[in-house]
Parts: sequence; C-alpha cells; structure tokens
Amino acid sequence: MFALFSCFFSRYLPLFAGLALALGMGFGILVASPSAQAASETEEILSHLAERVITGHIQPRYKDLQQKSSELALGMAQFCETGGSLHAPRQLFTKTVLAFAAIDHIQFGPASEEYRLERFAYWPDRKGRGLRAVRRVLKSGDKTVWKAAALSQKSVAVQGLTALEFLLYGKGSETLATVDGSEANAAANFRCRYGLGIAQNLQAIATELSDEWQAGAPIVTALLAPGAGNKLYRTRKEVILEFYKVVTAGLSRIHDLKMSPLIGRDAAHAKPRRAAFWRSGMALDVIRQNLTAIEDLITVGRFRELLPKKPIDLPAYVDKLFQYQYRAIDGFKGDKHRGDIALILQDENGRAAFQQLMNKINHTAVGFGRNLAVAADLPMGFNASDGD
Amino acid sequence: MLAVGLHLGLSSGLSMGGLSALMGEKNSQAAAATSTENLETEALFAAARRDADGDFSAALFTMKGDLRSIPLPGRGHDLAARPHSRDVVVFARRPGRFAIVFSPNLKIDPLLFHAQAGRHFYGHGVFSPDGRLLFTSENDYEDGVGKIGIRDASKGYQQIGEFSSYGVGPHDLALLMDGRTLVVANGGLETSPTSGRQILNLATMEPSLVYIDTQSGDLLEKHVLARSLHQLSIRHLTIASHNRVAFGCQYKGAAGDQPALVGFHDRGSEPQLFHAPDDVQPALKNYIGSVAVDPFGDVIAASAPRGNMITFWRAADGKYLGREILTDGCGVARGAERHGFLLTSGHGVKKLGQPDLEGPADEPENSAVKSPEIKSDTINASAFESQTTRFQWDNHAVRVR
Repeated sequence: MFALFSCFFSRYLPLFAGLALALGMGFGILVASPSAQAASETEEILSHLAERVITGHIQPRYKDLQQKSSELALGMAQFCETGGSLHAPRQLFTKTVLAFAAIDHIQFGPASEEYRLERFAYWPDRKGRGLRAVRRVLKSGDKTVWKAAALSQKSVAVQGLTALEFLLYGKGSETLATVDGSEANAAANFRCRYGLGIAQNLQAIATELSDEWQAGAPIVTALLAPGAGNKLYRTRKEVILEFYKVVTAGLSRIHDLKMSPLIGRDAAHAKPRRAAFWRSGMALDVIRQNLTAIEDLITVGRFRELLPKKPIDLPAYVDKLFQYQYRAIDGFKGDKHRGDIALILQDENGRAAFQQLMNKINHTAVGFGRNLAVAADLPMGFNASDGD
Repeated sequence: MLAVGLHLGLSSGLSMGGLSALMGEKNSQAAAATSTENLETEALFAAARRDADGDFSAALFTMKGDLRSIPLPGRGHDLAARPHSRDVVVFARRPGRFAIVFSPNLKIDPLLFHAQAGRHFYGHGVFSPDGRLLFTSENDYEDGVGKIGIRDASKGYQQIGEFSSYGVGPHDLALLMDGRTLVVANGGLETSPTSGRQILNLATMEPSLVYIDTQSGDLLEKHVLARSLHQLSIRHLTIASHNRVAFGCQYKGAAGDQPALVGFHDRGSEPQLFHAPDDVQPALKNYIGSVAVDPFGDVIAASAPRGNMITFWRAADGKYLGREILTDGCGVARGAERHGFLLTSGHGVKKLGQPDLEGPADEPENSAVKSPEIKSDTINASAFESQTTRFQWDNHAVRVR
C-alpha cells in the first residue's frame, strides 16, 4: 500500500516544485532514496517519538496550565475578598490564556473527553451564544456558579476562559473595581465570585488533563504500546500519524479559524471580533503562542530531522518559515497597529501583511505536512485524512 | 441542456462553449472510450476524483474506462443521476458552492450552477423520480441552519425554492419509494466558507434524521439520537428494501468511545444502531465514509476509509455480514448483480463484484433460520474484479445505469 502511496506523491513533485518556484521558496516534495544510514536514523527518531513528545512537550505544558490556572484561582479568591486593582486578576488571566494556547493544539485524548476543550474555552462562538449565556447568569444571580463543581455541570459556554474574559474585560467589568466582599455591593461581588468559580473550574479541568497524561494513564499507555490489543493505536504508524495531525491540523486551525474569518473582502467587511480573545487584546499573542507550541512539538518530536536536506535544506526552510511568522506578528506590535487586530485589519498595509502571514502559515501546514508524510511514510489517504 | 447561469446571476452569463473552454475539458480519453461499443451496455458509474497533478475531475465510467470526464474547479463530492435523462450532477464538497451537470454526450457542454448567496453545498443531492426537481443539502451559513435547495432541472437547474432541513449540517439525503418523502441526515456539524472545513460547534451539535414532505416542506418525523450520542454525526444514508433507511455515522467525541456507527430506521420507530464484531468495531476508527445498497435492497455496504475496509450489513436486521479490505476505500455504489457493489479507493482502485457474505443476506435471524457464526477475522474470498487507475477516487460513487 505504501508503494502506491509514494507513487502518488512522487507524481506531485512537478506541481509542488512549480509552486515552490513561484513562491521563490523550496517546498516541493523532495523524495530522496534513503540510504541505509538515513533509514536507521529515521527508525531511531520514530521509535522514541511518542515518548519524547509526551514527556518533553505534552506533560510539561499541561503541568504549566495547571499551575497558571491554580494561580488564577488563588488570585481571584484574594481579589474577591479584598478588592483592588483589576490589573492583578487580568494579568493572571492572560497567563492562563497563554498557557492554554501553548497546549490547545492537542485536541485528542483527555482534551477531547468530557468536553474539556470546549469547557476550558468556548470558542469559536460566531453567534454570540456564549456571551448571551454569561449575561443570563449575571442577570439571574444564580449563586451555584460560584462553585466549580456546580458550574462544571452547566453550559460549556459559561464555565471557561471566554466567559471569564467577559467578566474581566467586558461591559460591566469596571464594577469589579468596587469589589470589597460586602453585601452592599452585590452585583460586583456576584460577578467576582462567578469569576472565581470559573477560575476554580479551570483549575479542576487543567488538573484532570495533567493527571490523565501522567505515566501509566490510559492515553499514555496506548501511545507507547501500539498493538493488536490496543483499541486506539494498532501500529506505531498510527501513533506517528496522531502527532503528525496535531502539527498539520494545528497550523490549519490557526489559518482557518483564528485568521481567515477575520479578514473580510475589504477593510469595511473585516471582522476583528471573530478573533479568539479579542476582548482582552490577546488575539495576536494567542496566535503566536499557538505557532510557538507547534514548532516546539516539531522540535521535540524531531520531525525536522526527518526532512531531506538536499537539494534544498528543508529543515532550515521550516525554521525560516516560523521565524518569518514570529517577525510578522511582532511587526504588528509597533506604533502603527499596537497589536490591535482591528487596527491591523483597517489598514491596507496591515491587511496585506496579515494575509501574507496567513499564506505562510498555510504554506507551512501544506508543505511541511506533505513532505513529512513522505519522509515518515505516513498513509495520508485521500479519503481517510480529510473525508466528509 | 439550457444556457449556463440562467438563475441568480451567479455564473456571469458564460456561453456553453465558453464554459467548456474555460474548464479545459479533456475529451481525448473520453472520445477514445466512447468508440468502444460495449461500454454502452455495461454498468455505468460516476464519481469525483483527483489525478496525480492534483487536478480534480468527475467522470462517467465503467470498469473498462472513462466514458466522459470533466474537470472540476475544486474538489467534488457526491453525484446524482437524473432519472429519464443521461444527466449527472456533481456537487462541490462542503463548503463549496459549485455544481456541474454533465452527460455521456460529448456534444452537450457541461452546465455550471452555484449555491445562492449565503449558502454553500454539503456535497449531496437527489432528483425527484420524474427527473424534474433536484434537492440539495445546503447551509445557510450566516444563521447556521440547514436548508434543502430545490432546482428545476427542466429549466436549466434554476432554483425555485428551498425549505428547512430541520437541523444543522444536512449532509446526505434520499427520497423514499413514494417519491415524495425526503429523508435527510442532519450531521449536526456547523461549517462556514470563511472557516474552511473546520467544525464550529462540537459542543452543541445535535445530529438528526428527519423526514420531510417535499410538496409542502413540512417536517413529518425527526429523530435525535440519545444525548450521550450527540457527537455521533449521522452523515450518509441510503434506502433499502421496504423503505428501510440505512445510515452511516462519524463519531466526533473521544476516540476511545467507539460507538456503533451503522444504523437502520423504519418510519414510525426509533433508529437502531448496530455494532460490528469486537475485533472490527475499533478498526472502523469511528468513521463511516459512505453507504450504498445492493441492487436487491438486501445488503448495505458501509465504507470505513480510516479502517481501510468496506463493511457489509444485512438490511433486514442490521446484522454484520463481513468486510472487504480496501486501503483508503470510501466510494460505494449499487453494483451490477445481487449483493453486488462498486467499491473505489483513494489509492486508485475500483472494484466491481460481490463480497463473500458470512451469512444469508436476505433472511433475518429467527428460530427457523440461523446465520452461521461470523468470523470477522476471516478475510472474505470475495468475487471482485479489480483495477488500479491513475485517479484518487473521492468519497462517493453512484450507479448511473
């Protein structure tokens, strides 16, 4: 089966070589006949890939998410008790968002169970369902949302980061400045305690995620020991494919969900509020963090080393693509746009740069994906990989 | 066939010849094929596909080769054959907006039409028995609600109306044998052209199987699976004997859940889902890509491209009957003989014939008739004629003649 698969891809060579030339870049399908040494290196990389990714990438990131959400919960508890500047809880919130953006590319395993991803951050929310639900909670005065256990049983839209973002940055958040824990200040205190409930819920979810990725947990065992009796992964190739999909689907998700819906056909039709975490001004930070995280997975998994270096040094090329993306995002933080997604999308130069960034991310997903599939001999079925 | 773009002003008044030229139709292969007399008498199929250059096309073909192929502006999905006509319509896969009508007659140019503004196709359609009306599953992506588009094929596929699909993400659809009742698989997944193929509502999805009166657009019956299965997207369906609806699902929840993916439904009852044997169910990878019924309406083929196999099921009682291994196999269509199917794969293979079913295909289990014990690990000694082509065959195939 793989001989036929390779046959298809070797036929793609002219197409992608042409594309690469058109882009002035080298991202054709470069299939070199592997030497015996290269084959043994590939084997060496693939044989411990899952272990490296689990211990060197996934576990520490979930641990960090647990840590940041715990600090957020502590910070919120203190804030609701004593009041003070909103700066403190907001800072803890942004740290938690970044910790989440550093691991939300892992969408399989424990994250896909119990609606944890959706509960942690209900997004995208094109129709504003989440916002309406949060407003209903605020209006209702239902104190059960103060307790994480009860909150975790409510709508996914009212118990995660996007709900907390509205409490801390949305309309009415200014009332939090008056929080003092007193009965007299009911509305502000309710809002604060609801935020605390969310923070504690996030802490609980992050703890579950971290625990369920520890050694001996079912997903870890399944990834480390593929085989006939393993219901999730029958072969090592299926395990590699799982991580491979994290990279390609993760990049595509940034392009398709976090960027493409925003740009509109012109400045008048831009939709900056479709961005993830626009309300807290973190849209670009989240995208950058996502990219950094995916690049780290590539590094820890040693995926780059599987790519050919001749005739074009593809590992170096992948580095360049990521560096370009970071520079482009950092460029938006200058005086002109100040990192504000709305300002970027209103300005023609900003729009062009944003579009170019999208193109580069897409190019990375497609080009890297296809080359890696060939290099690692992954069965990228036409129907199986992206059916309907 | 009438001029292009008669309706909605969407195809900017291209002439017929203009469209053909624009689409760069490659007729040499088709012309060569049509000179082969016996192609006219063989089972004729249609499917979308991709070639080695990455170009998308749709073709009318037999096991001997193409009768006609047309290039597509993007990836196609399913097709619908128009009764009392030689027209076949190929639909863009979600969230695409094009559809193209073509026929074996090379003198008739393909006709292109589009989903109206604010709608995208989900890749499936079905004709009324008289061949006049075409029903298509569509998405109103601003409101995120499913629609069924209605077009008049006798008037250049002009859109004449639409009605609700009574759910989100309508996908496959079929008409019951009364020719009037439409059954729709509302997959429950919300997508938008601006977000590509990303799913936007995993947490809130609610797939359903609905029956709609095509004359009034009224909802006749709606079935939602148990709450615990709300991430089991009902995607593809076909009509077996006695108007029994067979459906195939894709599970969007945790990989370890592995719910049953193949179901059957008779109007007025509850849908029933059936597991494959324990050693086969996990191998399906929570994903059925396509379903089809054999010419006698007894056997259902349900493809599992992620599991590299096509499974077969008895329509009468949902019993698993065996499987055919086919790497990246997804397209299934009614075959030429009893219990026969066409199977196609993303690795270029097309197969026509009969699977070796492990049990009687047309007799439900009861005390008088006992099925033999099914040994799912036995690979069938099936009777398929197989060919490897240069095309990656797409998700679906249909029998045209």
